Amino acid sequence: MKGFTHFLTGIAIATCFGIAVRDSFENMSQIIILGGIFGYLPDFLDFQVSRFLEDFDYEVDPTLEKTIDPQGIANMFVEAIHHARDTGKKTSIKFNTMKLGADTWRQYGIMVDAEKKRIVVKIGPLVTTGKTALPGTEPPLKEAVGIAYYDADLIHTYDAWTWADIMSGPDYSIIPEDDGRLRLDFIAWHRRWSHSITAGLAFAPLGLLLYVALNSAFAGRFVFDAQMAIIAFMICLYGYWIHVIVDQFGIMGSNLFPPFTKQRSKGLSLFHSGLSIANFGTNWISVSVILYNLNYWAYEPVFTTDPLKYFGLTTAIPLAVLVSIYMAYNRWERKGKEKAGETDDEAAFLEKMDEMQEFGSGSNV
Amino acid sequence: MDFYLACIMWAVLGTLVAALISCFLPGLHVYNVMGFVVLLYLPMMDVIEPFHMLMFLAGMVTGFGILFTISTIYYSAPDDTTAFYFMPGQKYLMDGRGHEAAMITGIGALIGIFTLVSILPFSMGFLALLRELVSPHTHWIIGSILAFLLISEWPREYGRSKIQLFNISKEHRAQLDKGEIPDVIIKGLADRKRKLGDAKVTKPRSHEWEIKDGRRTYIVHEISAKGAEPGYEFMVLCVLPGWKRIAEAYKSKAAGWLTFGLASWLGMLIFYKTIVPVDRAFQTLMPVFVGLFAVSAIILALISKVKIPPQHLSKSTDIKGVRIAQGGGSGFLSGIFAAFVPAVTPGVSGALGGNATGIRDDKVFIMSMGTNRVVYYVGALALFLLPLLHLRRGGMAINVNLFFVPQTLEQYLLITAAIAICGFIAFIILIYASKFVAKLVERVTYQTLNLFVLVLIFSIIFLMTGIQGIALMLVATAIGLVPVMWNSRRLNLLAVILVPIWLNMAGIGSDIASLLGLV
Repeated sequence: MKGFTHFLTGIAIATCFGIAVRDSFENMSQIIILGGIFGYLPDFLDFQVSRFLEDFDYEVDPTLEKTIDPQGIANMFVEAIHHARDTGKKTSIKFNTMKLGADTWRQYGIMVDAEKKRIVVKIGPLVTTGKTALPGTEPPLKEAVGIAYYDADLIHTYDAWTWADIMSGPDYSIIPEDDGRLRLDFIAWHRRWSHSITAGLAFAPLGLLLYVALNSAFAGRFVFDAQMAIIAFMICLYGYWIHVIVDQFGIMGSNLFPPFTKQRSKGLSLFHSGLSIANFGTNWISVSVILYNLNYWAYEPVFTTDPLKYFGLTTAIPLAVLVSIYMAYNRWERKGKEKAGETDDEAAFLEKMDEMQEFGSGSNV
Repeated sequence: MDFYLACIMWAVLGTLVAALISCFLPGLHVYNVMGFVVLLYLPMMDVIEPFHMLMFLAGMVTGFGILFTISTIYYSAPDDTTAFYFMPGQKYLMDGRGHEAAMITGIGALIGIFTLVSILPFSMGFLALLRELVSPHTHWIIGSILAFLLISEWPREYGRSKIQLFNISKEHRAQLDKGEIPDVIIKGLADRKRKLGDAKVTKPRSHEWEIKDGRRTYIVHEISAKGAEPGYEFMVLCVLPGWKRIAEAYKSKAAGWLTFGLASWLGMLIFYKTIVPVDRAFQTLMPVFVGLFAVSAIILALISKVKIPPQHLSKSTDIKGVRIAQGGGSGFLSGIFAAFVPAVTPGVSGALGGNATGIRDDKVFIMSMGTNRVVYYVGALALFLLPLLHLRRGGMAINVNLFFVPQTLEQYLLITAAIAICGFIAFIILIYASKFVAKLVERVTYQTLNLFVLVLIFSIIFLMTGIQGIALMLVATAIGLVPVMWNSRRLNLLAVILVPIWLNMAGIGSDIASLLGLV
């Protein structure tokens, strides 16, 4: 899911705590914000912390080479695959980007062709930070493509291009499996430990400390209210957990109980985390929950507090209509076209790509 | 003349004035123009019917909402609401598609007006209820937006986990292959105050050797034959530790936080101790917004020495129906949110809306911002006049309230009709104005044009707010340049208005102002 969606679900969870809602309008408390912050935290930990701590065994860095050599890049990827095969150890490779000016980058693409056991690298045009290609900047075709063949059984059914262009580039981990095959994992550092129930338990006390510190700072003296402190802890914990839970509806899933579990479990595959309608629908539900809670905990409610009637009218019916329109549109758009045969791996890959391209995170908005 | 006809004529006149200002006086904010119009009008209340003046202002705000895209795209002079599609808009201009961007914005604006006119009259009861429910919680809603702005900006990482130290020649290969460290590396590192301890050489990759001395890892990288210069074939790199990588990446995020902090301080300053003369204090925000968004963008345009390519006047915007629905829907929700919640402007609400609906495409974003800003400006007026609600938000309601108190549903419906007509007229003007200005920017050097706009802005600010206003604008410009220079988010600049209002709503504004020495 998008960052904002997680933030809003965290806020929605926080409003379930009546004491927090009442403290907000009686004492101008900002405690509900903690839910949003902790709802966002797992992605913060991955995309704003973990990714920088990752060490890669191989790094493609075209800026070191002055000229970008597609064959060299393909060779390096194959070398990394063979390294994983020969050593039996996880081997990671990072494809750094090539910044050429304030708003200019050189694009290059990598394709793992598992069927023909080859890596294809293609140098693309110069692109702006908004990924608009600058016409006439593509290298001649004979200099643009590099192909290298590998000798291993690679588990990778997704043969579309991965592009390294702006900001940070993509990375792969090549993980040897027990049966001797190699599994290719895109951005393996994502949802490795951060999106877990145990991490929620570990980080929630920090939220409690943050709450006490901010409360004391604004009051100008040390303030500790045990009841509110517990509420703050619960808001942080549930805010964090709701992120983990919501992400399980997607394809990728996460490693739910590290250090007791080591691998990501699969999600329910109900939708892509980057899908517009999924994000919009989740936000709609969050807003409905927030409004219901604000009304429910108000001393003088302004509308009915019958949850069935409320959520039926404000959430179930509108979303059912929206989803029906969406599905009808999709069916109409696909009419006459071959149905896209998206495998689980492809879907998981797309989900990761979506999360790598958070709106407003990589552009100067 | 018939009263109703006169009403529509006044509204159309307002739109024409907005068109002239948008096309020829870039940088002026609609609320500042409105402030002056009301100031001139108040002594003439007996001559001109207040409702006619309201119609004039409604026409003007509708016209601005649609036509300000000209200033933003062609003159690099965005305001606080357009600054966030300035970047994609500029991209289109540089691709020779400025007119296309203007048209996409215009279509978005038309969608906004259509939706506003058709939905609001049926939402009176719901909106009144919503206001009653949400009002006591506005402080934490604004606080949440601020928290999201602060945490959601990603650090800019260009992928370097190694830094280059120096180059050596390939004659040292044999030594490296034998596991020996060449003297030239030891000396080179010593020159850089890096003393090698008991180090070991390994070759984990075909093109690289690693030298580890327990504390640091150095890499000797073999440059490909194509890229290497004779005598400089190997490059000595130092692997950065994780915390250094984080520090490097967080430079841009730190610039964002710095921007946020400085803008907040500036906001507190103008809320508590503005330096603009008292008789013009109602224009305090003008030099600040112009400095933060327009002047900083113009300076960037002047420095970058870009040349505007010939503009292609496309006949189609080539955008699918589903994208129009997505952009329009996202823009409408964002705009109505901004019109409803105090301190939230279309810049912030557009970014939140983009996140909420998963917008990534530039065209959809431009369109959503076109819808968003019209719904925000015109919606603020409509919500103020809407029976059962009469919501006072933004400069529009404040200015109108000086001479007019909304009363009847008929007044509201009349205004709605005027908005629809003016929206249509403004869109037609936009088509021709955009074509005209697209040709103009081809003939005049971009730098000359921007210089002209800059001089114009300085003159307007001086006339409206005096030398103190110029000083304020320069401070705001310096702050506005921080995100531009360090590639961080411009959204942080909106802390100028969000933070003071949030602090005041949370009941600690005066304490913080006192802490800052402002009261």
